[in-house]
Amino acid sequence: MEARPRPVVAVWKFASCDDCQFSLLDCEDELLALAGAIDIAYFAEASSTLRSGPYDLSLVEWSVTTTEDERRIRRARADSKQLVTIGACATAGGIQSLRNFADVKEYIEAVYASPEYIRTLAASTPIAAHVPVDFELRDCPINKHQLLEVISALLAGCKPAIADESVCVACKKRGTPCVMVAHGTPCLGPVTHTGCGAICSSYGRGCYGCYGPAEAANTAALARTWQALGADRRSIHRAFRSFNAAAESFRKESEAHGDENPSR
Amino acid sequence: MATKTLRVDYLTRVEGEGALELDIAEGAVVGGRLSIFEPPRFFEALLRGRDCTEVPDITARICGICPVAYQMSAAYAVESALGIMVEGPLRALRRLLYCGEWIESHVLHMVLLHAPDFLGFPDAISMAASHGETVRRGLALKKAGNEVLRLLGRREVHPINVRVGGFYRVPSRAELAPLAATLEAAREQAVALARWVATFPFPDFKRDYEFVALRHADEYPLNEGRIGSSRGLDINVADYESAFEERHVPHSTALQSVLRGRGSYFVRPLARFNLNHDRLGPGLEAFAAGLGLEPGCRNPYRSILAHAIEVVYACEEGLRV
Repeated sequence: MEARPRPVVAVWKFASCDDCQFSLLDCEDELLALAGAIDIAYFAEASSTLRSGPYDLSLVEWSVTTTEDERRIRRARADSKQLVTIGACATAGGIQSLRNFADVKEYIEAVYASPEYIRTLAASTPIAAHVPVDFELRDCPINKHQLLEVISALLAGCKPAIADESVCVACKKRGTPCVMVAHGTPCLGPVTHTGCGAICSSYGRGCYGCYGPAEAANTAALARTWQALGADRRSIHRAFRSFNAAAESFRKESEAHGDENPSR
Repeated sequence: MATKTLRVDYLTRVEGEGALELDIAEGAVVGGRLSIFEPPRFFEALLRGRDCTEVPDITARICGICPVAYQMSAAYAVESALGIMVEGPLRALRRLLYCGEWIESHVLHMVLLHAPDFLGFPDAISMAASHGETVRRGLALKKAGNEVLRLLGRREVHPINVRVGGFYRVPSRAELAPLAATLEAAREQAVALARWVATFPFPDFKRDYEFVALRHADEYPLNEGRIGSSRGLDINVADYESAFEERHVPHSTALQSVLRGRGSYFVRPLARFNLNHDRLGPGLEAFAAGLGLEPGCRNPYRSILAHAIEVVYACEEGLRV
């Protein structure tokens, strides 16, 4: 019997920390099997063989921050049957989206001696703001088991089985005592999508929102609970303004607690 | 005289986005430019106004391969500003966490990124066809490093457990105990990996570098020490800016750091080894020499050997902790 051709996969990156794509290489037990099942045609950080498209699946790890990025993402989309964003940068703009609330010129001047050498856009935007995206895998960083699930499911023509629940639900399922109720520790768990497995509460700290907003998150109610625990306006503002600052519900809630940029 | 320019548009198997241009005249390189075109992310700017306890979580996002390095630097900087010294078992556990990252990150660099260059493969996956056992050993070793990170940091990438002043939660003795067997096995694999790396064909090439690394009074440096160099630099970390200058060049978004009045310098494991080989212990120093890594090595290709020695060290130091 003739073997079916392996699906051709590409991995793209720009403004990001590289981790989400290296999650593939972090699959120590699965890497060689995965490499046997798919044909990785373009993955610059792992291979010096770079083949041009078309690709069956593109994994995109970056937020768009330059005009060159805008051009590249359109090319990646045109070359790909399916396109998946991986991580908070590609899905919500990432930590670098804090510039969206500031004057990017002032940011450039704060970091670079010769601001005239730097070309960058005023905002860091998610991929879906530029091209259609077939699936968004969130979190900062992504969970490698979820990455394997997404790759396997999409290449098999199924919808990835990624639970749509808050971190709070993951805590309850495991029976971890609530850090907010038991210790009065402010926690973003009720409004944050799970995927990490509620790791912070198991180490006694509150969730700080890596995965980004859960579906229909009631951020206003949570902010009131934080206030009751003694959190001031600025802490609440900063809590919603981190790795997923540009995600709609987190952006709105941070603005409700002062629109001043925490970086000033 | 005609000058030709060789341009590599996209350097592969390195972290970060870069291109390289070399100007060649009459068979000799007469100029070169490393252009990092990775778009700026403005960490220095966006950290302003954040609470000092948030800094390690944010700086981790500079790099997903070595987040602990940025978390530790941030935690130590904030603690130094607050006048806090983290000592005793907490300090030891921070060393253990960092050892986990050295194992994971160094092995990623050696096996998945660097080794294919020596052996003529485009990547580790194609290298695995003829060096399967070694690639699998590398992956197992990397996994051992990640197990240390998972216990102490609660996740391998962007650990959540590093806190200004220590940790959010210290693992129990019972949780830490199984790491001993993991690190014992990892040490064996690290020794085998080092022996494999030592068989690579190293070009005979030497440059007159100035090596810069931390230097500590009585241990191989991870987090603490003074900044030293092979040409006599010996300063407090806080005096960094008096000795170093970060320059901004037109073709790169990465600032270029030079020693004031002296120019460029060499860092990372080979520099650390050259300045601190006497802190590895006599057994490991002799093992390094047996592999062809002698103190004062000025061959940059042999830096992969220094990585290998540091992986063995990280396993031994982890066991000691």
